[in-house]
Amino acid sequence: MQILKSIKSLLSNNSSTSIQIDPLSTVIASGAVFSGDLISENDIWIYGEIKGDISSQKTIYIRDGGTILGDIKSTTTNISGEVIGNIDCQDKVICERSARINGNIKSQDILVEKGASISGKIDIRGMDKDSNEEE
Amino acid sequence: MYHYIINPNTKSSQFYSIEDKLKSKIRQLNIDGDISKTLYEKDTTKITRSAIKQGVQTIVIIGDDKTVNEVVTAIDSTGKTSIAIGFIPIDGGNSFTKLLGITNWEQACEALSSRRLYNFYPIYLNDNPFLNYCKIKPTKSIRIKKATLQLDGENELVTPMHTCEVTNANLHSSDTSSSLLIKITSNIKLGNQKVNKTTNKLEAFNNISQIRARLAVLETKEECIATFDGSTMKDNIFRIRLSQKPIKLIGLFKR
Repeated sequence: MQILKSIKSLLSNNSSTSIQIDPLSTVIASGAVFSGDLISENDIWIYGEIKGDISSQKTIYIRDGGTILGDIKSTTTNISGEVIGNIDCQDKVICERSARINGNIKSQDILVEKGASISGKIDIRGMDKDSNEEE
Repeated sequence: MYHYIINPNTKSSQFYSIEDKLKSKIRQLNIDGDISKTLYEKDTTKITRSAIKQGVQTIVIIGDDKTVNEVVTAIDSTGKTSIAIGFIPIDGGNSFTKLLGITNWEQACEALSSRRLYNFYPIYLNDNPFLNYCKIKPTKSIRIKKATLQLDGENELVTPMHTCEVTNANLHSSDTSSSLLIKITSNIKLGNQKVNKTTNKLEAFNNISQIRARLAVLETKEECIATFDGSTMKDNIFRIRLSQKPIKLIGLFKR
């Protein structure tokens, strides 16, 4: 049992520290301010501030301390920072416990951790039953 | 028609140790041509221009990043886009030969013989072309509090800056379209997380901004020095743009 706890602890520690960022991802660092619309075909990682809309064909990560003043469009959005704007995701929105969202969320799926704050409408389309049955 | 430009000053001892074998190999593969050795500064530029005037279609470089840069600049000044560039590394290669999938001189000769051409877009730094890598940092050992990076004439990134590095995104993945890949490091050593002094909690942190564009203007109040493929320049405004005309490289491209 003790060994199992140690392994779990090790795994949780690793997941919090080893963030793997793809060399072609867009990253806005802590302390940086980006003004304008940010569009990328790869992942976007936000640690700083964005004044404008952002759009990615993959995942947008808004990390702790990251702020978005604009709308978000992506396949998946993972939020542990702050968003003032609407979120439109094809697959999933993940709101971690430090997430602060002021805007509407539209997605197929949503995951909200305890402690996250959302002020706005949430529109979850759910999985398409027909496509689910086909699978 | 091939023309070989050798800069014997770079890693000269290694070059002289393979010179005879190299000449024999290029004869054997039927890719021989004129060979010029550079003796003085700017010889590379003069030799390249003269070879192109004589109708040479392939320039092969045996030298370092600076030699490569001088050849690219000379070809660019002629406005000819049909000239192909090949590389023969002397001792395991420089950073650019790795892009071409070449790690030794024998492999390079095989690549020249098979003549697989690849379109690559150079980057211009204040109108000076380079192929591989550029690093911009303040001339004094300081961190710039506020650097402004204008992107594609539409967007702007304002950030602290310790160093700014620019490459072609195509160097990282042949599947991706060519664009400037700009990395600005705002501080020297900081990991992915830091402790928030107010809340005493561990927060996500990243000190490197990374962004892609086709045109960028980096502006700082402080004077900076840019090092690009062996050349340097000092300024506080750097206009960086992706060329609209590709150059032709010869390589194996196993990345």
